[in-house]
Order: sequence, then C-alpha cells, then structure tokens
Amino acid sequence: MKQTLQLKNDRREVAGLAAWLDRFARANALSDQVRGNLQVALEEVALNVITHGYGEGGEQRSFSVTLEIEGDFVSVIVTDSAEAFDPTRHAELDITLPLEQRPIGGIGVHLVKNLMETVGYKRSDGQNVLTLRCRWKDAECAPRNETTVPKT
Amino acid sequence: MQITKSENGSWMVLTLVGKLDNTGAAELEAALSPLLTGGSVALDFTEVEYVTSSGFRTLMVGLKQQSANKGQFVLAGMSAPVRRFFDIAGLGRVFKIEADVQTLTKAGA
Repeated sequence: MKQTLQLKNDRREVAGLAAWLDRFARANALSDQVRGNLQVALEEVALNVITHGYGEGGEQRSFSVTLEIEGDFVSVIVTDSAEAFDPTRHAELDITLPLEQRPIGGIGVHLVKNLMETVGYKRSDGQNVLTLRCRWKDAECAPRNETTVPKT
Repeated sequence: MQITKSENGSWMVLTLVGKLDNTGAAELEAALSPLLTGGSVALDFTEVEYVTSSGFRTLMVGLKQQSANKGQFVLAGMSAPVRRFFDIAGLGRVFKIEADVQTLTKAGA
C-alpha cells in the first residue's frame, strides 16, 4: 500500500499530515507505538521543510510525503525543492547536558534518528529526498543501534 | 489536544488527552503560561499518545520558568511508550516524572 500527500509551506499543514498518518496506520493495522514513532519523526521533518527549508509567508511552495508498506517495513519519503539540507549530517545533540545548558531546540533531528531504523538522504534533480524506514512487524520501530539512548 | 484544569490541594493539575504535537503544544502553552508563576504545577500524562519536539519545547519552557520562580513542575502518569520518547530525547531525568497524580497530590510533596 502506497499513498502520497502534497503539503504547502504553512505550519498548519502538519495537523492534516497527522490525521492522514493516523488513517494510514489504522488501515495497515500498525501498532500505537509504531504510529507514535512515525508521527513524531514525520512532524519534525515536515516542520523543518516548512519553517527552515521554504520559510513561511512568502511564495507558496509544496513538498510531498509518501508512505509505503514494503514487507516488514514502513517507509516514509519526503521530497522538497528547498536548498540542499542533509539532516543526517546535523550535529549530534548532547543529551547529557544539564537543563540550564540545554538549547530549547535541537531535539527534533535527534528524535528522528533515534526513532527510525534508518534515515537516508540524497540530493537528486535539485530536490532533497529524505527516506525514513522503520520495522512495523514484530518490532517496535527502534533504531538498530541504541547506543545513543541513555539508560534511565 | 483536550486540556482540563483542576485544583488538587496545593497543586494545579492540567490533564492532557491526545497528541502533544505542534498543534497540541500551542494549546498547552496557552493553558500553561498563566500557571508558570511558581507554586505547584502537575501535568497528567495518562492519556497522552506521543510527544513531538514541539511538545518537548513547551515542556522545557515550562520547567525552566517554574524553576526560575522556585515553583514545582511535575509530569505524572506517563505510559511506557511515552516515557521512551523522554528517554530518547535525554529528558527522562531532566523532568520530575511521578507514577500518578493521586500519589503526588496526596503526598503533599
């Protein structure tokens, strides 16, 4: 099953994105945990495109999100035509810092990397193509390597 | 997100139901900001589905402001999957997280 949604550079679009993802999760019997992980990751990626990639308020621009079930995996492909930005090369967040020294932002990309099993980026035909994959079957959609997650 | 405000002893409790995402975070911020003047504030997370980075941002602002005003800011009743988001974000030990609101308010902590 494969579905694509077109979104505009307006942050109010993410509410529709979440509702669409909920419907996809229900139709494909994804667990609440897998659905939650996908929601958190996808909102982050979409808001990045809207607020940083395109910026709001100017010329209307669009980007696409495709959800697909491929065997044991769900894949999410986000394609935009903003300037090249590779979130996989984004600086790592230091999650050991105390609250006073923590930046308020910066959690988002860290969450995406740690909630998805793989995050892939390519620049192709003047577009950013970000592919997130997570296992939906007999698993909880966790990264293969959890060493960056502190045990609390 | 559905947000209900109640008073329980000396605690102001906000009960959250739904998604603490970009939309939910804006709603929470509106409900929370008048309460961030010190005193004891608890958020009941029992019915929260998940927390996105927008949600974490609002919670961190709340915690920082309450700390600055010598107040308390406690999250309670979190399910294991929601707790996992906090741990991944490295915030599981930054926030004070209690088992449930009832124990918290009864203990008079």
